[in-house]
Order: sequence, then structure tokens, then C-alpha cells
Amino acid sequence: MNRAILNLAGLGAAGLTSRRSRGETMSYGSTEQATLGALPGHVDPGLVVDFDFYNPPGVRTDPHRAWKRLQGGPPVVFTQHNGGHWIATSGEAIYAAMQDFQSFSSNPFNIPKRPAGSPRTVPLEVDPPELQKYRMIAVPSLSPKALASLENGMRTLMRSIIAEIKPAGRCEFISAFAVRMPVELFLNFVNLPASDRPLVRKWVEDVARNPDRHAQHAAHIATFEYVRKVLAERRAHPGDDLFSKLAMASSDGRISEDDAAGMALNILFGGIETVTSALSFIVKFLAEHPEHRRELRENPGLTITAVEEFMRRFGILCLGRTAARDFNFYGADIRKDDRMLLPIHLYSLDEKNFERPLDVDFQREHYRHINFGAGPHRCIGSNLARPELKVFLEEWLSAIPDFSIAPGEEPLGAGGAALSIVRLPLVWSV
Amino acid sequence: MKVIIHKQRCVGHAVCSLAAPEVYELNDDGYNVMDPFEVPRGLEEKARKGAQACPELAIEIVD
Repeated sequence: MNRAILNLAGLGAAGLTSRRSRGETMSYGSTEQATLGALPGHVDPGLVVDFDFYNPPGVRTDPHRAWKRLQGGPPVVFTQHNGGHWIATSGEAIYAAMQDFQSFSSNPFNIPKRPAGSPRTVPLEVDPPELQKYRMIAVPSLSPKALASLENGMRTLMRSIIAEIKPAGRCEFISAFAVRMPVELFLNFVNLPASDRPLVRKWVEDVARNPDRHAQHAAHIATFEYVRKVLAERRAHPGDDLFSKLAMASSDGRISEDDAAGMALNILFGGIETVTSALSFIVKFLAEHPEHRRELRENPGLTITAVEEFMRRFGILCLGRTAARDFNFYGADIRKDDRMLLPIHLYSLDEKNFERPLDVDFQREHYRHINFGAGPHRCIGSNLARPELKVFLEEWLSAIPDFSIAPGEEPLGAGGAALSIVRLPLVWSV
Repeated sequence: MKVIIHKQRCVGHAVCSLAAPEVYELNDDGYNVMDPFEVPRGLEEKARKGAQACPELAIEIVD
């Protein structure tokens, strides 16, 4: 991506001159966020871009291309939006920051910072070496071996939702499936009633994407109170589920009750929105690419590879970090307590890591991506997400082999901590 | 062909055994803690695929 295109997007170095996009961001963000903070004295003005990651220009049409415009310039840039923070843009810088937990602490994680006194998300906001104690409480329940027996249940759930949707010949995929399935699967996994679905769904969405800090915070607190109540019940009547294991870890004193609830919070947010987002991009792509649908139908053995290639192409999360010291990082003078945003989807969209990175190609030489993170915070639910996506591809393509975007309608993309397609009208013949 | 797992780097992505289950084994928690081993004849390409998939670059192939 060359400099001319960067400037067209209003993101050029010293982007203070190009504030045309600001009106657009203000219409979506809260007043608090739309007001840019002062430029800190240590930040090189040449590294400043005008980039609100809750609503970057072009995100409604294509979230990944909206982000991709940041790549090709300096490997680390600074934006004054959302409290002011750095963004690593090159694959190499993103990867290095994720591995260097001593320079980039995960605590605090959220950008912008949550209000003081917010519950801690555990172990997302715990650095090594303490991190391992928390992870090992949940890891055995989320290993490939522990989850192997779940695939049949996933298949049954997906088949039944698809069977409900199919006869109409059309659906708005996000609400009809992408939002519904992962919440149902998750609630079932931790033995919670399906009737809690609308409540949980709303909180998850607010935390991931609501640009209003107060709404984000309120949802965070509401979810924390909800899981705290659930864990108190599980302490009294434990079962075999993962939430019971968290409850027991706090009743035998290995971790505090607040940290057990913080873990439940982390697992809930991590396990729902991400799958919704992944499904939304995969299905939008397949609706627009009949040749890829055909390739998967004709060669079902490709499905596992296809899941990896989709995750490489459509990474989702922006991770927040906080600098633990003063140092120079890829040309940026970072000061202790500076915030850093790591858009992990840009790692595998970097030409230095993959040829033709925007193409979806099931025949690539390799699919090494970091959509589940890299380093000590590797996504603890990755062994649940991978089969979820595989079973989805198998079941959807077998029930609805051909489908397309509804004529005259447009998909709608969104930014925030999790990139997503939030509206996806589909049609197929019945 | 020999494979060396740098165990201290493994964080449990499990992609090695996903790409090449015949070559890579995980423990019950999902980590690769295999000692250095010779790749069985005919599985070299699989072994390489599994190593290439590791986001931690924890798998070294010695030809």
C-alpha cells in the first residue's frame, strides 16, 4: 500500500491536516471519545494518524481493508482517538509486542481504559508468571482431548438451527445464526439455561463494540455480577462443567472469588463474540465466491485447511497492552503507561508474511497465523473454536450449498475490539 | 529427518497435531512435550506442515 493511498484514506503521516473523516467518527462515537486528546510531548508528530478503531473510514464496507490502509507506512503509529494510543501496523511489530510481555503488560487491557474499580478480566489482565496458575485451572477442560466428545453436540445444534432457517430461502445471517449459535453452544457448555441468551448476547455485543464507554462499562459490570451469582450457585452445587471448576478453585482457596468470576467473564467474552465475527466474515466471503464454495463441496478433506485460511485472512481481534517501561519500539519512543493496540488481523495481511495476503487460497504453502494470539496469552478456547468452524462449514454447505447476498441489499461491517460483519442478508433457492 | 520440540515455547495452540496427527502427539492438556524424534519415512511432508503451522516457531526440523 503506497503513501498516496494512505493519504486518500485520511491517514497520512501527520494526519492532523486531514480531519474530514472526523465528522463521520463523531456521529458514531460518544462525545468523550470523539474529542481528540492532546498529543503527548514524546510522540513524533510524523507518526500520528487519524484513526478511530471503533469506526475507521471504510469499515462499513470492509473492516479488513479499512485496517489494511494503515499498513505499509511506519510499523508503529499513534492516534489521538480513544484516549490516545499507539498501534503496531507491521506483522513483525505486532508479533514482537505479543511475545514481549515484559515490555507490554496486559494489565490494563482495554482501550480506552475502563473506569477505576472495574472488575479484573482474568487471566487476560494477568502477566506471567502469575498467569500460568490461572490458565491451568481452565486448560485441562479446554484441551483437544477434553473437547473431542463435543463435536456431535455441536453438529446437532447447528443442524437444527439450519433446518429452521433453510425453508424460507433467505435470512439475515448474523441474527439468524452467527449470533445465536455460539451463545447457545456456550451456555450449553457451561450448563446455563438457553433462556439467558438475549441477556448475554446484549452484554457481549456492548463490551465488544459499543463506542459509548458508559454502555461498555455497564455491560461489563452486569456480566460480572451475573457470573458471580452463577459461581456462587456452583460452589453450593458443583457439576462437571468449566464454571464449576472455576467455582471450586475459589472455594479451595487457589484463587479469589473475584478472580474466579473474572475468569468466567474472560471465557464468556472470549468464547462468543469471536465465533460470531469469524462466522460473519466466512459466510460473507462464501456468499460472494461460488468457486470457493464448489472447491469445499467437492473436496471435503480441505475443510480443516479452509478454517485456517479463513482465520488467516479474516483475523478479528484488536488486543490492548500497556507499556511497562520507556523504550524505543520499531522507531516509536514509547513511555511507561502508554497504551498499545495490537490488531492481530494485520499480522497475516502483511505481504512480508504472505504473498497475495488478501486472496483466500486453500492451497497455500502454510497457514501460520496468530488469530488465536501468540505467546503466553494464547486463546484458551482455540480448541473449541476450530471444530465449531469446521462443523459449521460442513453442515451449512451440505444443507445450503449455494447462496448469495440478497439482491439490492448490502452487508454492513463494524470495527471495535472485534471486527465483524453485523448485517448479512442472504438468499438461496429452495 | 529429525524433529526437535522447543517445549518451553509451546503454549498449546495444538496446530501441529491438527496438521499432522500421525507425527505430533499432545499431552492431556494439549501441549507438545515430545522428546526429539526421527520422523517415520513417508511422513516428512506432514511433519513439515505441522512445524510451519506453529505460531510460536517451537518446532525445529533438522534434515
